Amino acid sequence: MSTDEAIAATVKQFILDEFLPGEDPSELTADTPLITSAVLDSVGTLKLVAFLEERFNIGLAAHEADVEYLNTIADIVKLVESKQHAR
Amino acid sequence: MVPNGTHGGTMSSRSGTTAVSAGSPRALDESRVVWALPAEWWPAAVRFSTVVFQLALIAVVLALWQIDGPAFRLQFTLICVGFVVHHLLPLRFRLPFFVVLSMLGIGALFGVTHGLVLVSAGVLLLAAANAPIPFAARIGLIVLLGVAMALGRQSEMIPAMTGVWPILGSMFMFRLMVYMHDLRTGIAPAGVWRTLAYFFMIPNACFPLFPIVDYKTFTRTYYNREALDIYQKGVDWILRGVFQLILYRFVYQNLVMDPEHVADAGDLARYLVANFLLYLKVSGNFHLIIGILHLFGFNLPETHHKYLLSSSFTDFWRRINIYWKDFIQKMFFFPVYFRVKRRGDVFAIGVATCLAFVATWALHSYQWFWLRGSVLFTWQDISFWTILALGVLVNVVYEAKTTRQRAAAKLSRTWRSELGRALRTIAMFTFICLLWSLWNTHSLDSWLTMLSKARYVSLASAAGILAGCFVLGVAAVTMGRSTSERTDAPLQASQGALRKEFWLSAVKSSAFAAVLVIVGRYPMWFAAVPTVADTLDRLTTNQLSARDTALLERGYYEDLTGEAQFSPELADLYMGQSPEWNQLRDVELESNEKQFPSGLYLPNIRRTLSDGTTLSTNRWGMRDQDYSKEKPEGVYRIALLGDSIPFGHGVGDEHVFEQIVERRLNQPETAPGAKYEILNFASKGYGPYGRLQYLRLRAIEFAPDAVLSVAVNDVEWMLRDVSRCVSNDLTIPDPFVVDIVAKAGLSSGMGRRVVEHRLAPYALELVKWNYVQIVEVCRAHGARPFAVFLPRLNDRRWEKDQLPQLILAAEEAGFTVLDLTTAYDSVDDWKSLWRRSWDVHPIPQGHQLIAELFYEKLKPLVVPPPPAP
Repeated sequence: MSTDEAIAATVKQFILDEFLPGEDPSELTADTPLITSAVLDSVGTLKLVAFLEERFNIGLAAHEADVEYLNTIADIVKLVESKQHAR
Repeated sequence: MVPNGTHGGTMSSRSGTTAVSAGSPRALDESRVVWALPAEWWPAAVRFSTVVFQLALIAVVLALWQIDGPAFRLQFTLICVGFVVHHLLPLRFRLPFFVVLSMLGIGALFGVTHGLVLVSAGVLLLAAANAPIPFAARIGLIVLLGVAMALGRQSEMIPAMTGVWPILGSMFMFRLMVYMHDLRTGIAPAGVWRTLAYFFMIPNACFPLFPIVDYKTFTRTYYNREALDIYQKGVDWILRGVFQLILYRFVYQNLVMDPEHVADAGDLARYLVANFLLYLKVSGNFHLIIGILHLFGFNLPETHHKYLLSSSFTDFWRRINIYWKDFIQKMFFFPVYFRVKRRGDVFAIGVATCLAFVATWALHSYQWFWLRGSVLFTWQDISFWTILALGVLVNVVYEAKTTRQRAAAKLSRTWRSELGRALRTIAMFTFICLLWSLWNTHSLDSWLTMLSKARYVSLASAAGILAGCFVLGVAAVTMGRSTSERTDAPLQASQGALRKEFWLSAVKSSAFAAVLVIVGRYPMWFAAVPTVADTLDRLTTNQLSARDTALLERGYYEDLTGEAQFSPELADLYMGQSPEWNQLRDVELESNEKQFPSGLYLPNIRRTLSDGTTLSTNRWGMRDQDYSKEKPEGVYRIALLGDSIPFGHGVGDEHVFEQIVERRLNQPETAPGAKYEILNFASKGYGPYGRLQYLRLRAIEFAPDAVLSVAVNDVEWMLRDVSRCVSNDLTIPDPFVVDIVAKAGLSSGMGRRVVEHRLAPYALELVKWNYVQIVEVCRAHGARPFAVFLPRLNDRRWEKDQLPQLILAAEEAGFTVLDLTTAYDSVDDWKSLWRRSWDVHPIPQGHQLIAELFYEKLKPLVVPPPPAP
């Protein structure tokens, strides 16, 4: 499993556990909108941010808690990878 | 079910349309936008024509239903034409064209001079925002400019900026914050056209209260889907806005009532719901605005989402004015959270929520200042935001602790969960209605008194309230769960599904618009049910409700800036006030609250009005030429008593109808050898009781041969006269009136509106008595009494409801009646005779029309001068 696949799997599991309990995992794809379809509200977004920071040991800025960076698992993977590379 | 994401990704060019990558919502890369005439161009041409057809229908609807005033309707025509040209242009020219169109819109609304001033002030701010200096220095420069502009706004010292401030404020007060934030974080691209388009976007010139469009979203959503789909969504939202504005008008004209008139639980429910539903005007306008922006490729998300069906405080906060919530979240909530998150999630969320609401309250005052020119600092406002903040805080902390359970609950649908949702929605709606009424109340006493009426419950009112709750509960279960519609989401549907969606929307919108056209054009088709026909007839005219008509009339005489705060329609009107609004007040000798009758004027004054005409008074304080107190030999003297219309409020001396009639009577060919004097004792704010007192105290001393008692709606004004005496504890010299006051259970210090409400059953009785008194005074002094009825420019309802009764009462009292209510009938649009949108006194043309009919009716009665009795 490549790094980005591992990140995607971790994030997906967190979202399924926290925000979509009981949902069929196959329904949640890399392109499933999370913020724009209200799976994540503002509080949920902050929970995701806290998880990402703790799990991947990265720091996010306030403006990154945003639809542009966190709307899909693919976006989240890109963000996490960019933060890890920047370290 | 998780939202389907399997079709997301990069879109390619589609037939006849412009499309961009939707897979990644990053800033628009115009090089990826395809503009080409496709092989199968005609399906796109048909779809485009369908959009144009719907817009044409909407333009007709706006005209027939008089939606949002003539200025907006003119802009909408410009928008429709601009839309067609815009779509036909290659993409790289569209944004510049949108900017040009927006500037044309500003010019059309403000004129060249004021338009240039507005744009120049805006460009100055943008130059500071983009100056090649450190970011902090740019912020400092903007703050300095802002302070200078705020001083200019408050002092109104720059004539060229009159009327420009609210729109300049609306364009820059929040958007500049967002723009600077996005520039600093580098999350949105700059660019001259993009920036100009963002700040000067076309519908803004017509809407001072404008949604806070996010800069990044504005750039990111630009043509992020197929153009025609965006346009169709725009049409759909414009119609949604129109529907909400019509609904608002229905509520405003039919359901809104004074809190003092609430008598039982049914009235209370009606008051609370109607008061909250007035917000439909905001949500309707916001839909209209964002729909219009869609026509130019800005695929922005919705601004409101079924906010009446909120089931919790956070749910309400997320559904109502979503752009505001997003703005606060971006500028305050998230930054504060990130600063304090080390101290724990729940703590950080709590602190961020509290500060977000403090910012919300402060920014509402800031917005009020730019739009209205005064600072809003009231206990009602503070209470509203504090209570809402506490509700959201409790909710948000609960949510932070229970995310997983909430998420699971979202997915399950059981009888129990649905019943719970229905009950929560009803409770939330009730609470918000109550909170809204507190926000809009005049005083805590008034609010508590109104709420105390809930103890009077009739069977009918209980049934009505229960039925309303049932409907709300069913709506919550069937429609309340859907998530916010975010059109900035990546594309999810297949091309086939999108086509189907387009045509479904087009058919629905066309049908709805066509129905509105038919109903708007032929309301009398429903004449079989008179109530429906009458309601539709009123709905299609943008008129003030009876309550606000009365309040507006008070506004000329009393300080009603507070009223404007509570009535959106009055607020719109008062926003257009000119500096000369209070000029009349300067002329008063004494405050009208201290004595009755009020409004005695300073003698021998001369003021130049803003239009260059003159307002002057003679040595007796009449707005008239000089007369001796003793009547000269051979003169037929007429004393005119009346209110601000015969006084000539807002017109020059020579245009007052009294003076025109006097000049015509004295023309040599009218009555050779005769001399007429019409002494103008009219004064602002006089009702019939004021006229009676003024006749007794002053006019009769001038020995008139005739007395003209000039009236408009004497029933309402009689109540105002007496309530003024009671509320201000003024001496009432007439035992008859004192008895009525006692019968109505009135006492000094009671609020005017409460007094008027209690007096209402005695109004006609008082008017009849008053008429008899005037006639008796006249006869006792050998003067012939005339009752003159003028048309009421802003409301003809009284002609049907009250005029016949008043004429009968006047005739029975012994007046000779001169009915001038048809004086304006040769004019189709009576509003064209208004002095200002907020001032329904007639312009010189109106005075001329009154003078002509007045002269025609008066002449046979006084020419040649009748012999003295």
